[in-house]
Amino acid sequence: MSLISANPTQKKMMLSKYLDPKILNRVDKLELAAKAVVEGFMAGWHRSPYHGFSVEFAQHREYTMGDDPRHLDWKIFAKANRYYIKQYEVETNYVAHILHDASESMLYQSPKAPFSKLEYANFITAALSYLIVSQTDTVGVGIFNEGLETFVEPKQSLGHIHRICHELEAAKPTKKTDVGDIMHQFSDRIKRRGIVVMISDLLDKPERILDGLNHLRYARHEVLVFHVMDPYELDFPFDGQVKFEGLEGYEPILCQPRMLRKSYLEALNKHILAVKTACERNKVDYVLLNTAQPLEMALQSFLQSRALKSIAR
Amino acid sequence: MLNPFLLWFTVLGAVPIIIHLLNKRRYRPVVWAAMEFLMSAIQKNARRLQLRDIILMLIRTLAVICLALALARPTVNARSFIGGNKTGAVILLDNSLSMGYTTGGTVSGRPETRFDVAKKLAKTILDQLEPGSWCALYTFNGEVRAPIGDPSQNLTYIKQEMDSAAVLSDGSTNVEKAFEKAGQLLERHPEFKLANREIYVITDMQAYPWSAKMVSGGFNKSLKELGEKASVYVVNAGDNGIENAAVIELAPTDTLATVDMPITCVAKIKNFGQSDLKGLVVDFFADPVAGDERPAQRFTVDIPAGEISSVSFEKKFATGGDHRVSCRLADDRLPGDGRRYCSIEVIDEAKVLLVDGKDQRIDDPIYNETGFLRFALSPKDPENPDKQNLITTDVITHHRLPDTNLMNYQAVVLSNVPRIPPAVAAALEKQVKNGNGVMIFLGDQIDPAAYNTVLGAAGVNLLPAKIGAPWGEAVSADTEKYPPAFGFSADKLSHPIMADFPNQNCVELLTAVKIYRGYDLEISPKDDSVRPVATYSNGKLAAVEKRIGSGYVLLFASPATTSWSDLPTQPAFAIMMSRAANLLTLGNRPPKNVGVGSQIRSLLQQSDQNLLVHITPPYPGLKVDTKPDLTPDSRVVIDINDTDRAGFYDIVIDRDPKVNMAYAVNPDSELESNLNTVVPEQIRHDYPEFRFTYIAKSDDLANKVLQERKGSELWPWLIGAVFLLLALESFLANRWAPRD
Repeated sequence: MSLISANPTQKKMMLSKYLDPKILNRVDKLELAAKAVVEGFMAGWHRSPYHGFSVEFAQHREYTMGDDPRHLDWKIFAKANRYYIKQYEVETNYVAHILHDASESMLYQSPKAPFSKLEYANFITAALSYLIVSQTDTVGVGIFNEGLETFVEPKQSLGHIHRICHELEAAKPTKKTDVGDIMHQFSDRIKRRGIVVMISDLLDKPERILDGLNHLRYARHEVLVFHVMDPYELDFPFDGQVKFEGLEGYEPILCQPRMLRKSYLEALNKHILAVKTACERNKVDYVLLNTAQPLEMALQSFLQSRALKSIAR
Repeated sequence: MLNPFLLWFTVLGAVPIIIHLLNKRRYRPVVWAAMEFLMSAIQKNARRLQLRDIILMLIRTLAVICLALALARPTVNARSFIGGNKTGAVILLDNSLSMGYTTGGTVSGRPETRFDVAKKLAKTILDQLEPGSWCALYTFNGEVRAPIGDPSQNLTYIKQEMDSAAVLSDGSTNVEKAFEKAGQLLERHPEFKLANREIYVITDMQAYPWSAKMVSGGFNKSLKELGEKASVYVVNAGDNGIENAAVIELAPTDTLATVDMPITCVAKIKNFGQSDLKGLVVDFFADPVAGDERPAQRFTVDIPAGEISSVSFEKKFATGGDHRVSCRLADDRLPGDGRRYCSIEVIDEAKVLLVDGKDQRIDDPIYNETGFLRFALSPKDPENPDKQNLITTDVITHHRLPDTNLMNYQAVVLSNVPRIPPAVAAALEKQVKNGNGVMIFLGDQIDPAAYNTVLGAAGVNLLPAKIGAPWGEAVSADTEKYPPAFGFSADKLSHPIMADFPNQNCVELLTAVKIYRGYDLEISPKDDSVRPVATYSNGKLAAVEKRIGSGYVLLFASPATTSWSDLPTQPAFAIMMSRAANLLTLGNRPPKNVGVGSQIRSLLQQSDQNLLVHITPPYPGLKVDTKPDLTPDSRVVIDINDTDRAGFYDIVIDRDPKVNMAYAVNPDSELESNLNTVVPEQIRHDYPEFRFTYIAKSDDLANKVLQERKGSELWPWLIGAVFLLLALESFLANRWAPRD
């Protein structure tokens, strides 16, 4: 059974499996995966994402071969016996900027996780982009590490997704994370207020992250933070003698991690709490994502956030 | 260290360290992103974890080292650490009488004694001393003596001197003195300050020297201190032989002996063993000639176990002077107490001058002052009127006193003499100082004031007490009425004159005497030469003795007649006068028979001061020629202090004619003849703080000493430490292990 020929229930079952990272891991094409993820995710929603979006008439254009006959204006054909099609201008609700962390630390992948934090972040970025574009909103993506490496200008077309996916796959994570600085840069760069989605492992000083968030909020952006962590980073389940070879240029450390687990988790939780508190204080949505978990949480959090913001508005 | 080669295993102590280091090389590399949190955790825990690692590693290392040490069986002796291999040893050889007990073996053709065994053991100890060690050798009985003087490093010399100079004595054992001496040596001699110190007491473990009554209260503390200063070894050179008979006493029945008078000597023989003795041969010797071992008389006695048997030996001596009588048990395993010696001074005659206070000589004793005295001192045997008395008496009236040569008499009795002329007083004083005696009976004729003046402190100071007023009433011959009477008090009858009454259980002879009147006698409490002889039941003094020079003065409060008492007619009077005559005749001279270790003192005449005196002790080869000494009170004396050996000590004075004197020295057989032994457990019980090592004769002394020097083995402690360390390691590792 093909996806096209399937009924909605069958389609939902088929597509929702793409929310599982293990399945996604086998999908080579990020774009395809993003599409599958979003459609699979949206299949569970009762109302169409297209409903509610305002579609306004722009002009008439003479029909040419290849145009969809559904858009023919039959009233003009009746008056003038000529074929014209209606052209509409889609009104975009908002512009979303996704800040995608492509620092070296994002390369980490534990045996328990199906893919690295970077790959996971790529899926989220692609899926969100697809979702946003599908909702006739505009999405732009900034790929950063120490600084902004690549910036894909916001656009509202499905073809734009292709470019985003291309840039994500082309990103070479070699440098350190500087989340705070990138948020400052972004605040200065984006003139039109919109939605900023930060996808990062946030391995930076909490105070720097807080500064960056402050800056974004000052520019009246709505900010959503996806904190991507590997399950091993969250649990630190190592045993025996381990030499930790640090990404982002850290010196190797030889230790018995079992002895340090408690202190490590304390430090980690303290960091998460600090970031989370800073987000709450700045009315920033914070979502901690475990790369071993399905992507559903990220998409759901995004939509819930949007829904809440719409109600508030 | 009993297995020193196994000490190599201590290098295994490095194994935990090596494992630790190897573990550091064995790791799993992990590429990690969240280094900040890891570094934070390390920063927080690094020192604590490092300390834990070090502690656990140390515990493991220690456990391995302890195990290796335990295998090497180390020993510890704190003193060895101080002194190294060199030892400062004090060897104390018991040379008391009991050490002469024969073992049944022979040595150099003579019976082997415990002392010979002790010397062998001492040589074994010397053989165990490392070259360069110091050793002091002492013998001990009642006294502690050093045959070789100060500590020496020449151990061969010590052995040689032990053979020649360390000799058996007849003294009693005094372990307290021996240990005291050892303690002094450790303190005084610098050789013992840093050395590994050892004290060896080689003894036959006789029980009595260790009993509480033979030592002072501080003995336990002294032993404790000594045990802390040095390793003390008590080496038993004795055996289990306890069968022994001893002559515990040999003495004449009468203290006064005169020429040609039969003298009875009684020997008391005690069976100290646990078996009855049958047919024990007892030999008596009287003035034996050198080399002649034939006894003067031989007896055979049976003595049950623990009992005493008396054997009497009678002998007449044809000449005056000191005579030697000895008694010997044949076939005695402890010869030292199987022979006893007695020196008997035989005087040519004992003459007593009785001075009668009556103006005229009257033969009826009732009417003169000396009749009863003459009967008491020289009684006539009606059945044997020719029997000679020990004492002969001359009687004179007091008027003849100034013309009488008092030098011819051993004692002068003044009976109710009214007054003493000063010249006579001076002569009497000289008599007393030369060792003769004066006995004074007071009565109704005497002038107390004149007596007090001439004979008292203001005069020649012969009076033992100041004569006071008379008390009581005299018996009236006309009315034949008897005034109130008092007897003698039965208390405090310790004076030699009175001692027979309690000793012979005949005190009633004294208490039956009726005393009606007497003089108050006032003695000076400051005069320690005066002592009461007896008191009456009314508390008044009956007689007082004063010691002056070598003689005595006796003063009686009542007369020697029946006018003031019935004493002269009572048997008690004869006993008292006999003892008094002996006392006065023999005088206050040092005893001729003394115990081993006691000083012999011979009083000589003033004219002997520059004469040569030859002293011959009982052991051969030690004759001494010397001159008399002068005491602080100007008496000419010969003192012999070294009386470790029993026997006769002869003193010959080059007077013309030569004077031979004999002094007898005897052991304290009641102590040394009892061969019961003490076991080390008893010593430990009685002196719980005394730490010592007991070595029996049958033990391998050399090995035991070497073992003790090495100290106690530590392996049980080390194994215990291993288990403890492992338990501690498990506990800590578990406690410090991370918990999820």
